[in-house]
Amino acid sequence: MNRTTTEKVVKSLKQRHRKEKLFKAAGFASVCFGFLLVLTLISDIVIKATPAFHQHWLKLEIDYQQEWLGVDSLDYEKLESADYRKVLRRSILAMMPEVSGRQDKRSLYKLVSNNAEFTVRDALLKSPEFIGKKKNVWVMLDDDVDSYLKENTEFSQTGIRISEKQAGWIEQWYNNGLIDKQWNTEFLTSGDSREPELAGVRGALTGTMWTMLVTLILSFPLGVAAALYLEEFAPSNRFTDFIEVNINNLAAVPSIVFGLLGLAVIINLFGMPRSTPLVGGVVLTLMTLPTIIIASRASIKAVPPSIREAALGLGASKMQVAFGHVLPLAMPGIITGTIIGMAQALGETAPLLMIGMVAFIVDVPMGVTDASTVMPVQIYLWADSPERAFLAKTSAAILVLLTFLMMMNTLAATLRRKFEKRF
Amino acid sequence: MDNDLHLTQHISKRFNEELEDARNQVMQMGGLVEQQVRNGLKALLEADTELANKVVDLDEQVNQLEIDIDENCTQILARRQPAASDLRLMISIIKTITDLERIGDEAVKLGRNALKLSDDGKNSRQYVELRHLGEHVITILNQALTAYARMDVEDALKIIQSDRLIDEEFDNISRLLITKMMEDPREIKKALRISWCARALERVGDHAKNICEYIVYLVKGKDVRHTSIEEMRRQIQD
Amino acid sequence: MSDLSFTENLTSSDITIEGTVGKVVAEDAKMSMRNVNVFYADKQAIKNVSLDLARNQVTALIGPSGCGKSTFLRCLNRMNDTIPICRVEGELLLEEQDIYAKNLDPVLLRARVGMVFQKPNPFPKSIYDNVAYGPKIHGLATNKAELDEIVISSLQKAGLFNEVKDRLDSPGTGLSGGQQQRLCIARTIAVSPEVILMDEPASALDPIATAVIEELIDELKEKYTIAIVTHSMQQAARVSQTTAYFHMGQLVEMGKTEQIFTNPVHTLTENYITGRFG
Repeated sequence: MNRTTTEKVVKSLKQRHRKEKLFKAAGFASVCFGFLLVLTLISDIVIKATPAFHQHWLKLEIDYQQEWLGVDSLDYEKLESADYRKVLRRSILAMMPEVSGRQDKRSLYKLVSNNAEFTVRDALLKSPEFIGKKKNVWVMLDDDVDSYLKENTEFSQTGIRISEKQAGWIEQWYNNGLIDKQWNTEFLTSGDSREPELAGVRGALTGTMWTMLVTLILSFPLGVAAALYLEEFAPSNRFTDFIEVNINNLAAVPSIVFGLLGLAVIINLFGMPRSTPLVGGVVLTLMTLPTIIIASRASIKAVPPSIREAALGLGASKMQVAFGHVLPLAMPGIITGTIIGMAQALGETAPLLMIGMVAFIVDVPMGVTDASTVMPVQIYLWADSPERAFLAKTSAAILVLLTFLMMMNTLAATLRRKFEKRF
Repeated sequence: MDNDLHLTQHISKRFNEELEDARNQVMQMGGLVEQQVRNGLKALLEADTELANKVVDLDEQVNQLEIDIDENCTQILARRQPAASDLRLMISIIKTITDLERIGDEAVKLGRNALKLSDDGKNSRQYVELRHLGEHVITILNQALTAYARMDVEDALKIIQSDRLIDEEFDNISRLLITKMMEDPREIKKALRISWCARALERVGDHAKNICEYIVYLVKGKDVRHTSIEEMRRQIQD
Repeated sequence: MSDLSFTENLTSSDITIEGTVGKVVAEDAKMSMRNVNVFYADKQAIKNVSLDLARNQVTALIGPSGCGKSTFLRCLNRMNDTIPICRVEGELLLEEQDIYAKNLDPVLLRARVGMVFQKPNPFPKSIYDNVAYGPKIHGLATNKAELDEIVISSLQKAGLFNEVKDRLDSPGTGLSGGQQQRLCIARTIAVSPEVILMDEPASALDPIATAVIEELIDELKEKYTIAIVTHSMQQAARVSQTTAYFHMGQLVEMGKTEQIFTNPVHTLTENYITGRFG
């Protein structure tokens, strides 16, 4: 290198380094920005969701008077259908003797949850010897009270949907140590409900799992088989070109269209039961398939041809090459594609709305043909509800959904690592 | 005549130069050796002791050239791994210079005998036959070297053929010398010396013939040593 | 002006190839190809090539890049079948049997005519599984002991056994380049083919590994008929008995290796072998 070259390079060197630094800084800034956004989102959801994981309970001294219950014998069946509402209300009144007047009584009763009478019943059924005696039972407070307690620290002010009188009673209970804050196990163990304090995600979560299972069972083998056929076996002619174009187009179709298709064909034409994970799974399969096929094809294409040649040269049949060599080597990529597809399906709402998975379903689905809903739809439903406590529930459900997604990805990553082999 | 073309067509220019150098060195050695034989004969015929001494001294240069060319060829073989015509060129050079060196040695013999004979006094009459043989041999050597430079197979074959004439001439001289020795036993010593000289010249002719055989090998890739001239022609026709 | 090779100053485009120079017919031919033409779509890659592979001999196919030597080699076990636009015409016989016959399964053909590739391509499996793969898919071994036997003897024949006997379970891809190539040869031998095709088997290896492979090829020819495509002329000269020179899809010259490398007949062969401008 002669002197002039050196000089010229030195001159341009500064500028080149500056450009590099600038680019690095910009890249770092954008990464930080993205990270910040995600952090904000997650922390916002977590903060909003926290209240949903706790629930306030009231300790009541229940007087199981046979007369109030309206039973003559102690048969299990009789006890089951006894009038626990009366027992509950009389017990509350007994605790608050100063309350009089229909209006006040009604607003007093409203402070405990609708399912409190069932709690009272379950306690007696568990130990029937308490009949005619008094017993302490913890019952759930109404969601309005719950929200009021979570939001306010001073009892002097009235809250949303809580009157001054009610606030006074709550304060009285609170000061007497009758109110306790407990972990809300209901949220994960029960199904949906109109009452926010009773609503849980188990129904939606199980529905999601059933739907995902159906989607996975249908889309994975179908997608991989289609990709293998197209890459390894299909002759390259106009027909396969046509199929390829269609698969690529299918990946870009708005998801609601698949919902319409599901409604028109699967439910109306084939008569499959609506609102079920089976139909949901089939619809989501249609949506996931192109993603899996495209990812699998790319992954199969990336398998070095030398491996194929080696096996063919030894006299392996096409089938043996495809399944013995190409598929195992392409598996990590296929799994990645499947995760992406499944994650899409997991978060999908629109097509499921069309096939009726948006229905209000309290029961936990026990199979793929039970009516159910799924997590994202549940979130959508709760977000739409007017009750204040559903705000926290919505966020909590989002957290559950994200956790589910993370678990799915972890599982896939583990599988992927297992399949990954050095070339 | 673009005989050198085949040396300049390699992708490696350095290889071209190396082959060219080796061949030029052979031509240089050939020229030197021819001059040696010429001088040896002249010294003999004209009893020129000064020239005879020069011939003996110059042999050192011939030997050095042989060593240099050998070294060059070894380098080319080791580094270039020549094949086909290049390989044949290398082989023919290595073989040719051996023969050239022997011719050089024969020239020295002529020179030494010239010195010995001049001690016995001038008597050029006996050398008439020798002069004829010598000139014939020198012509053949010159033709062989020319054929080598041109890679001319036809000329080479002609030279191989004409070697027979030299042999005949040598036989004639031998007979003549034997007769002389029988006539006058005092002449035996001198006659033997002349016979040795004739022998040396005849050997030069043989070496020239060998060189021509290498030309055939180089150009045609056929080994025609130890075969009759008819056999050679037939092989080349293939 | 006595001889073409010394006096002609022609470029290859000026020199016409009219048929093949030299002897293409072997007395004891294992494979025999006549008037083979290969087309990639409309482009002709092999033009009217005829040659024999002599039994238990090494035949080297040499020539500049893109001359069709690899294409021709791949016709011999129908590896070109995998390329849809590739069309092969002509008569290709293995022991008098047409290898492109409709009723001949390429799977069977490839069990009889094995192939070793340019880049060592062991499967991402253990050394043992690599060698056992061929016998397994063809069902050559009835039990584990027999399979072990095949694997060990193949590794021995490939001269690899002593180097890997303690680590048959470690991955084949963990071996050095030369060892990988010998593993690939062992894998090919394990199927007991009759013919072994080698497509530049040593081009990715260092000289020592190359020498080991060449020595191996020399030993293998006792049992197998071998065809080898190589870019290294020295290699062709070292390992083969017969050499065929391809140029632009045509077989220019074929003959005994010693003759091709000392006294080629065709100018194109001469130019290629001596490294001249073609």
